[in-house]
This record gives sequence, C-alpha cells and structure tokens, in this order.
Amino acid sequence: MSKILIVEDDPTLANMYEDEFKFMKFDVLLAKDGTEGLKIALDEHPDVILLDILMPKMDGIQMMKELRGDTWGAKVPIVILTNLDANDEIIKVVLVHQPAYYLLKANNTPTDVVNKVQEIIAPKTTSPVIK
Amino acid sequence: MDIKGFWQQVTIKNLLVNIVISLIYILSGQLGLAFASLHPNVTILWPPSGIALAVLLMFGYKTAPAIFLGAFIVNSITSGTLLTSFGIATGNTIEAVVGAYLVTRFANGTRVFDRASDIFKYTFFASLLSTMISATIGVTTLILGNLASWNTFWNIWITWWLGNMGGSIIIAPLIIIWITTPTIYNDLKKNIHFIISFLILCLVTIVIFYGLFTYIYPYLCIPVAIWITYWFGRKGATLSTVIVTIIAIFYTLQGHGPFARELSIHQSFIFLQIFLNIFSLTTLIYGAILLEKSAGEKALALHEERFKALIEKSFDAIILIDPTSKITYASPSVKRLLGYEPEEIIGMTGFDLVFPEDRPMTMKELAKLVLIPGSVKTVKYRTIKKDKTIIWVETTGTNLLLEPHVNAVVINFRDITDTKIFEERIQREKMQDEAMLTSIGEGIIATDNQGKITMVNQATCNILGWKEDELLGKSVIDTIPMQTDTGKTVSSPDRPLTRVLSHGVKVVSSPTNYYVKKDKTTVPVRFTVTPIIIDDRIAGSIEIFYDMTQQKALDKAKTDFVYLASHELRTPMTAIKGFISMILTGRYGFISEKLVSPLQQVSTSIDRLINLVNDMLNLSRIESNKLHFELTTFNICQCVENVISTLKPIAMQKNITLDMSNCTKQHVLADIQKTQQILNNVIGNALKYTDSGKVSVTINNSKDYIHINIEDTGIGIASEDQKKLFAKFQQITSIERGKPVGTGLGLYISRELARRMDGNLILKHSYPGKGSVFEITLPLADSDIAKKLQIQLSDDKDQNGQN
Repeated sequence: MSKILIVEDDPTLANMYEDEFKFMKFDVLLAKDGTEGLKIALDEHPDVILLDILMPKMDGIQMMKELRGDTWGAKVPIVILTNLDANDEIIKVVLVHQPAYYLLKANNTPTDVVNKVQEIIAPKTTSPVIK
Repeated sequence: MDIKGFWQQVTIKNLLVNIVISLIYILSGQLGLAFASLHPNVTILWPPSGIALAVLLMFGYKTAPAIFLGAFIVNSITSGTLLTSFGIATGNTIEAVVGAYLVTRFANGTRVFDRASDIFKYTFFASLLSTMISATIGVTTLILGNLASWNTFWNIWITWWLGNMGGSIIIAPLIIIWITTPTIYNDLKKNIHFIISFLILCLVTIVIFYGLFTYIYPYLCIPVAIWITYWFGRKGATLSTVIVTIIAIFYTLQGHGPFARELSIHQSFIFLQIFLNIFSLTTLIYGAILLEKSAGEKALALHEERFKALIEKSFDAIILIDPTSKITYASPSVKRLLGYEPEEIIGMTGFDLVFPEDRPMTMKELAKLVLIPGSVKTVKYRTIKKDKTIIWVETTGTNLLLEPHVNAVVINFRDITDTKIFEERIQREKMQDEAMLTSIGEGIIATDNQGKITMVNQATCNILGWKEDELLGKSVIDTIPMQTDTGKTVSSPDRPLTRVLSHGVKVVSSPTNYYVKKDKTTVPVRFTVTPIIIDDRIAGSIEIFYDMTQQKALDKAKTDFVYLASHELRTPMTAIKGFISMILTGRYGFISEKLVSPLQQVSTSIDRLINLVNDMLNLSRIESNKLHFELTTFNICQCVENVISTLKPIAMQKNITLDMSNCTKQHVLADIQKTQQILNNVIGNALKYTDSGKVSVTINNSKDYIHINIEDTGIGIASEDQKKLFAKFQQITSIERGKPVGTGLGLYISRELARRMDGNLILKHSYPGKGSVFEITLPLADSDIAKKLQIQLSDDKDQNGQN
C-alpha cells in the first residue's frame, strides 16, 4: 500500500482528499502546516507528498526547500496542490525544487489528483506538467 | 578768379579805403588844429584820434598806414619839420593801434558801447591810457625838434592828452554807434519828437553857453540829453554830445558861457573839455544801461514765451500749487485731462480733485514733498474729472517752493487709466496662471535648451522635496537623478530630456522610472517631456510628471487583493466541486438516479464559478499589465495539434468531427501558453456552440502573419449580436443557444492576449443556422514585425535590468 502525505491547512479540503485517497486504498498521513509536514515526512518517508503552498507557520515552498536538503527528501516526488495562480514568480521558485506536478485544486477533482499521483508512482512521464 | 586778380582787387579796395581815411583824418585834423590855443600843434579837441580809433576798431589794423599817412600830412601842413611830423604821426598811430588792441582784447571791440562795464574799460584803456602814448611821444618829439621846451612839457602834455581823450570819448562813439546801430525812420511821430527834442537841446545849450544868465550851470543840458538818450538810444546820445560840443566850443571861443570867465582861453578849454567828456560818458553809459535793460527784458520775454509754450503745449497737464495744495496755475492741457478750464480750478484745493479714498495718501506725500526743497515724488492715484468720472493718473511733483520765479510745487500729471487697466489685467492673469500651476497636482518643470531649469511649480517642489530657489538655474539631469526599478541610475545620454533637447522629439516615460528626491529617497514617476520649439529652434523643454507612489500602491493592493481573493474564493469552490464529484462517483455510497441530474448541475455551476474566478484573475492581470509574455519562436502547427488532441474527447462525445488542415513547419513568435489558451478558448467555443457537423482548423500564412481559421457548422451569431461579441461580460442569449454557460470574458481575454502579442482575433463571418468562422493571427517568426518585437523586448529588458 502506498503511503501519501497530504500537507493542507484547510480542514475541509484535507478531509476531502483524505477520503478519496483512502477510497483508493492509500495510506494517508495529514499535516496542517509546513513545520508539521516536514517532521512527518522525515519521520515517515511517504512515497508521495501532496503540498499546499499558502500555509501558516511554514509555507509549502519553504518546506520543499528544507525537504530537498535532506538526502531522502531530495528524491521524494512532490505534487504542488494549490489554489494560487501559476504566475511567473511562484513557478520559478517552485520549479527550482523540482516538483512532479503543479496542480490547481480548483481545476481538478480529487479523482484527477489521485490519477496524477498514480502516474507518478507508476511513472509514465517525468517532466513536471502545469495544469 | 586767379590769385593775382584777387590780390589786385584787395589791394585796390584797401588803397581806396585808406586814401579816404587819410583824407578824413586830414580834414578833421585841420578842424581840430583850429583850436590850437596853446601850441600850434596841440589842440584841445583832436577829432582825428577818435576817428583813428573808430576806423581801426571797425576795419582792422590794415588801416594803420592810412592813419599814419593822414597824421603825417596834417602835421607837416600845419607846422614843424618833416621829422617832427613823422614823430607825431608815429605817436598818433601807435595810440590808435594800442587803443584798438586793448579795446578789442578787453572790452568787446566795436560792441564796447553796448555794455556799461565795457564803457568803463574803454575809458580806461582808450581814452586815458593809450592817449598818454601819443601825448608822450608827441611832446617829446616837439621838444627834441626844438619846437617846445622841457619846462612846458606838462602843460603841453596835458593839453595833448585831453585833446586826444576828447576825440576818443566824443568822436569815436559817434562814429561807431552811428555805423553799427540800425534805426527805423518811418515813425512820423517819433521823428517829430526827435526834432523837437533836439531843438530844445540846442536852445538850452545856446542859452547856457551864450551866457544869458550869469550863473547858469552847464549841467542843465544833461537832463535834456538823458531824455534824448531814453527815447532815441545811443545814437541820440552821441548826437547830443556833438551838438553840445559844437555849440559850447563856439561860444566859449568867443569868450561867452560859464567856462569863459576870468580864465584864459586855454584854461577855459581845459575845463570845457572835462565837462564835455563827462557829459559824453554819462549819456553813453546811460544809453548802454538802457540797452542792457532792454536786452534783458527781451531775453526775459523770450524765456517767458518759451516757458509758456512748453507748458501750454505740453501733453501732460501742469498745475502749480502752494504747500496747502491750493492751485495757483493750471495749464491748458488740464481741460483735456480733467475737463476743467484752467480758470475753473485755480484757487481750488488740489485735494478736492483727488478720489476720496486716495486723499490720505496724497496728503501724506505732499507733506513729505514740501519738506525737502528740490525733491521730486511720483504718485499714482484716482482723480475726479469735471463730469464726475474717475480716472487713474500718475503725477510727478517737484518742490520748487524756494526756487525764485516759481515759488510753488509743480505737478505734472498724465492719464494712466488704460495702462492701469492693462496692468491689472496682466496681474490678474499672472495670478490665475500661478494659482493654476500651484494647484496642479502634477509637477511641471520647464528648462532652457541646455537643460537648466527655468521654471518649476509648487507640486514639483512638494514631490521632490526641493525649494523653488534651489532648483532654478540648475541642471535637471544633475539635480534630479533618474533610476530604473533595479536602483540603477540612468546616465545623462540615456535621459529622455537629452533626447528631447537634441532631437526635438516628445518622450513619454516607461512605467518603471524613479526620481531621486532631495533626501535621496526615490519616488516612482510617470512623465512626458516635450520640446519647446520657437522659430524652428529647440528653445527648451517642458516636462509634466506624476507622482505614482499612490498609484503604484493602489495597483499593488489591487493585485494583492485579486491574488488573495482568487485563492480564497477557490478554496470553498474546490471543496464543493470535489465533494460533488466524489458523491457522484459513489465514494459516499449509492445515490438514487433522481439525485444524479441535480448534482451534476451543481457541479456545472461550480465549474462556471471557477472559470469566472480564473477569468477575472486573467482580466485583472491584463488590465494592470501584469501579464508576462514569454515570447519564443515555436512551431504553431505542433501547438494546434496539441490543443486539438486535448479537445478531441469533447468532440467525440458530441459526435462532431474535429480536424485540422495539413500544416508543415510554421514558426511564430509568441507566448506558447497564451497561444494555447486562445486556441482552447476559440476551438472550445466552436465545439460548444455546434451540435452536429464539424469544426475544422486551417492554417495559412501571409507575408508577416500566420492565419489560423476555425470554422464550425454551429448555430452561428446574429449580426446585431456580432457587435457585442468581444465585449466584456457580454453573453449572447438566444433560444437556440440556451442559457449561457461561459463567463462572458473568454473572447475578450483571448483577443487581448492575441493583440498583446502583435496578433489579433476576429470573427470573419457568421450566419445564424449555418456556422461561424473565427481567425487568429500571430506574427511569423522571421517577419519584420517579429524582429521589431524582439528589439523592443531586449530594450525593455535592458532598461528594466532584466535578464
């Protein structure tokens, strides 16, 4: 069973993704901010991390940066899942840390997200795609 | 005429004149020697010396030989040797020459009898002094020639001296005055008067000198002579003298008269001579004084005439006032200026003519003026004309209270109403302009053609923190540095002002310029610099700049708001969309058929909402120029293929054919993502509004552009709706179309995006029921337009310090 860490500060959305991934037989870990997310990631070593950007305490970008500093963390697939519009500044910063995908929550159903994650675990493509 | 002839003429003229002179001399000499009472060669009255002096004074030293000749002949005829005659003649000539010289040098020459002061000098030099010369030489000659003895020296000398004196005092004035003074003879009354006066004179003189009464004073003829001099001038005076002389001598010779008492003839003559000299001098001096007085009066009258003319003809009105401002004189111009006749205002108080409000000021000024003699003050005030209208006048007052002949304050004044109105208008307009410039919120800087500041308004000072006098005259480029948004200072050659002043072009700033203020902080600005062209020369520049701080802050706030709002709006929408989807896919258990449709509609609505938020975000970016275009060269065919493949599922679902024409490699210069967005929007629309049939995409190129045509067999767009097509938030509703599904922003955004890339999006044509054709154009990669775009891009990057 694949382990997934969902770092999301909004409880409604966190619940939603948790439900979907659980339905799809994933082992789900939740974190509500970057600090917690970082700790759990390093402790649990999930197979995939879903990362929101705008979060209190430590935002997604900061967490990603920290994570990529870790030997294991440098290689773990990260899917940026955010409602922040993809403008140039964010993308540049984000792409530096090599996420697998940059997904807009509003444009994708939970099912879409699961599909994307499954693609990563059973990879068909390696280049990040922005949708 | 030739020189020889000239000399002949002169000499002949001279000769003739000289001969005449000599003859006259001789004749008068003979006459004189008839009275030689003491010595045959010495007479109590020697007319020739008067003649000689007169002639020399009037005709110059060249007549001296004639005098000499005459004297020589006269003396040789009378008695004595040739040698003594020679000596005497020499003495007489020297007397005449010296006398003439001295009178010319010190006493005005022939004009000597015009002034009393000159007559005194004449008496001294000619009558007393030079006569001594001939007396001395003459008597000495006689003694040396053995015609007289040394012990009689003084007697003879005195006689000689007095005789020559008489000639110069009695005869010379007669000749000179009668020759140099013109007279008018046609006044009958005056002529009769003249004759009667002289008859009276003769009578009186005869009575006196005949000795009718024993003790009668000879001075009684003087009043008559004075009378004659008063009425008939110096001519009358000299004539009287001669007549009295003749009569007096005649009778005295015969032993009659007041001088001919127990004395010898010789002594009588001496006393008579003295009397006659004094008589002559008195009338001469009196005559000269009368002349001076009359000349003085004439000069005064002339001055007065001139003065009057100046005053009366002067354009300024002139009035004279006393220290209490009472008017003592008013020039005729007063009528023109104030409407009053001069007589009407004389006696009036000057202040009554002054407008009441201005009176205190004028009173103060007059008081100050009166204190300092000779001072001048210029004052402007309102004055009331006779017809009660008010005019502005400028007056200049001169304090001449102590000036003899004036004894008043002289005021001249002129009407300056027009000037005043003009000045006030100028002043008002100036203040209006200043008020305008001050109140304008934009900074305005004017420079000369060297870029030195000639004018700044208040806003400039406020925005940049400088004071006006700190900026005037300074160079704009040095005093107001410009920076890009990376903090790099823009050098002088790159400054827009430099370009404006050298090329005479207008320059508008790019959006990210900053000026450095006095305190070294920066302020974001937007400016326009325009050249001032006068007579085809660049004379300077005018810059208007706006402080963009607030605007930038506003923009940032807007952007931040939109940014955050869209994020915040999206979060609940994501939840709704997500959960509905999960419900519909049975994640939460079985749902009845009846629930499926409503839930799907909810889902559609949410999608609409999400699209709306996306579009609004894009719109906001487009409008604030925040959209970043990454222009690259790419293969448009590939791009279209990609979009079509993503939309194929939708087409298949509706059973519509979606294809594209054959397209080989075609490179365009555009932003890939935006291009995809546009294609998605237009092809998506085509699919949306087509129920059956096909949507075909064809690509072809013109010289500079690629043209992508999207043709559908959909419901089409009515012509009146076509106008609204690209407008914001306009949805075309019709029965066929059903309820609108889009946000109303799609086509607007797509067109904006296309245009920003130097392309376009248009509706080529559409027919309701038949279908529509849209066309997207984009610049070809190797076209001129593309090249220009690339240059501009690199310029912008350089200026903005971007890489």
